[in-house]
Amino acid sequence: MITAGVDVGAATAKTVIVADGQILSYSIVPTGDSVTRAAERVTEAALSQAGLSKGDVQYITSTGYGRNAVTFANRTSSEIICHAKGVNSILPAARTVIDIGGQDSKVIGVRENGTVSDFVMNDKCAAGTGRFLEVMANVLQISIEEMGPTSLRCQEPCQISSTCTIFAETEMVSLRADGRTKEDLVAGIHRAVASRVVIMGKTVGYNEQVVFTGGVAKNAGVKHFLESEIKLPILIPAEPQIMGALGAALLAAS
Amino acid sequence: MYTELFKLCGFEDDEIERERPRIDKAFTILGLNEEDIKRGETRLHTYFDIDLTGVRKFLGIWMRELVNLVLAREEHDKIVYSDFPMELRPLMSMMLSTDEKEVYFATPGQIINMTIGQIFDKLNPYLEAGEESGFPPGSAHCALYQTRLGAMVKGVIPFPDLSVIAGYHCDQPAESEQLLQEVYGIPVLYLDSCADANWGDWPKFNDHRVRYCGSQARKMFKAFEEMFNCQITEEATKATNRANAIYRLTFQALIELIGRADPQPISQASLAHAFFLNSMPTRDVEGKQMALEIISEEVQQRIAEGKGVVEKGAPGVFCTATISVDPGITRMIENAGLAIRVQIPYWLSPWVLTKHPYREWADMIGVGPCLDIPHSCQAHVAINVENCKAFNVDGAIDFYPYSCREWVPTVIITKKMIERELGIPVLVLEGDCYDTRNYSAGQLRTRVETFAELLRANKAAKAV
Repeated sequence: MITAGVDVGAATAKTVIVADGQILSYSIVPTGDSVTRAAERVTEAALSQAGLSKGDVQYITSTGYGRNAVTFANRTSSEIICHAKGVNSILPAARTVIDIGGQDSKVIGVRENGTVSDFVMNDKCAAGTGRFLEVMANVLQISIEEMGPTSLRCQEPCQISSTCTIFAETEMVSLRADGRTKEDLVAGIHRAVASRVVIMGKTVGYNEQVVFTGGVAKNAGVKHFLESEIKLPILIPAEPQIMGALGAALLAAS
Repeated sequence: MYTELFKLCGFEDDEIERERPRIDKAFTILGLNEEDIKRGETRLHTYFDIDLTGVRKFLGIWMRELVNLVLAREEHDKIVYSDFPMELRPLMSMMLSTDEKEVYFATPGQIINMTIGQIFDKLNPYLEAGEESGFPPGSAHCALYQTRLGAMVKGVIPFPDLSVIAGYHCDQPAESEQLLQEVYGIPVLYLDSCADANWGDWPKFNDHRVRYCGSQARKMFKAFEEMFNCQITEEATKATNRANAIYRLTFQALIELIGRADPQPISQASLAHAFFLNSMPTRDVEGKQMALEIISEEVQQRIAEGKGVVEKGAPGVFCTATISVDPGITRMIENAGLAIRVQIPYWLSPWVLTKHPYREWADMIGVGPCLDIPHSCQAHVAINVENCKAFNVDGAIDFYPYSCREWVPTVIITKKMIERELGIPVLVLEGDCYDTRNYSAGQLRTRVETFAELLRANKAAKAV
């Protein structure tokens, strides 16, 4: 049985094609200004990679904020459920998922069978999300991809006291003017993100194995500070951005 | 242009015609145009069980009060305002001790919320006006008071001759009334309460708290009598007590009927207009009781026919999303496939129905905050847990107003207590009871839908 999961988030849209529980292909594209078009584009790309057409797919589940706008999906499912399912399929021992995406962050408690035991999401605030990192990267004139390696070279991470992205940006400018190094600034930003997410997730709790997903999981600096905050090792799937879409595809098969 | 709207609010044709001059005038002052009315009609159909006569009657009571409120200055000699958390009994006993033509009583914030907010979704101009006039944004002021002040400074509702407020729950009433007094020159009577409950007091209350609040009530009544040259009669207090008790107990029976039915027979959004009459002083005491009896019969009929607004067998939740201005969130929870068995504070917990020894009217008022949520954080948490137990829910949703001093301290404790004692999951949502700008329905939907899937999976697993 061939199924597909389409995860349309704020920053990126992802599609995973699954056949009998195995990933055939996946694709990631920027969401842009149209959720529907992004969903179509990313699904066409994934199908093309797998050498399939839409007619070959028996069932499609959509997820993410844009899930209701994926007109060709057979059903929708929340991204939290899908993330838990997706992570569980490749890391069955996972019990906590930390997902940091473009505009939200989540901590999800996962049971052995891949169902969700508890969850928490950030509340109407960009701090602790990919958007926060984008703003700071812009201030420091550094690419998102460079942020992780840069922060790992820090001597002493800066203390960013603001919890608001806008005020933190102002703080960064001041710290930079004070002569703090780029490495220390970036590390300070990563520590701020990690700290905010970890505090948020305490109501869910952190149990091994802890898995980090979402686009921000590609940032080694954030991973480092998450590990030092929760004092547990963190695993990252080979492609952390597609866990929601993978879970959606697996749910489609069930 | 508003005939259909008023019919949806339970008005008969002859009443619409009779009241047309007043409605025209009020709607002009309110700035309600054809677009607003169309929106109102759509929202009535979308969010409320508008086919139920009882629901329409309640909507009608609030629409009448809206017109009365806007025209109060030209139709009455004196105006008295109050608002949550002032309880109804002292207000109603003062109201019934005065002449209907002479003195108009209202809770303007609530009236505007129930109508301009819930029906027309046009509250923002009042909130913005309130923010510009003394309750600036970013300071976590209660939006109920922003709305009330905003409506006054926009000239949509008159400034009162007296404002009566209580401090049962938080500092916002005191702050807002101080502003009204010092900046706008409005006399204020303040019913203070003693918030000094010790952790561990619950479910008992201290006599000193009752006596203190009772003494404040006595002071308030005396000042009112002097200002309005009247006396709060035993007849008025008895009538208040009786009407209140009958209404509240009828509402209690309705809540229990709905909470124990499967499928859920009526949307909880449809009950808001009935519930908030527990704190709004309308002289239409018979009308509100009749509406409640009608809706109770209609709900019983639906239960007998197996009709519901949520699928039979849906997971049941206890919910604190009694949002005064937005029926959409409650509906969204139900549309996600969750049956809201009970909302706080609709159901009177056993402790609230406890007999007490106080017989003098002022002391009976003094007991009020000691028996319910205002007693203490411990009481609030205990009442939340009791609601869950009483209705055997599968989960709980704590939608808390982010700036509410009374609510916020209990949120995480409530979650932990419910999860620990009852072993059911709790979803915490941050929002606002009185201001839709402070939350995103889209964000909430993701969380609610996830929670609904989680509860369905739990329920299915238990059934195996």
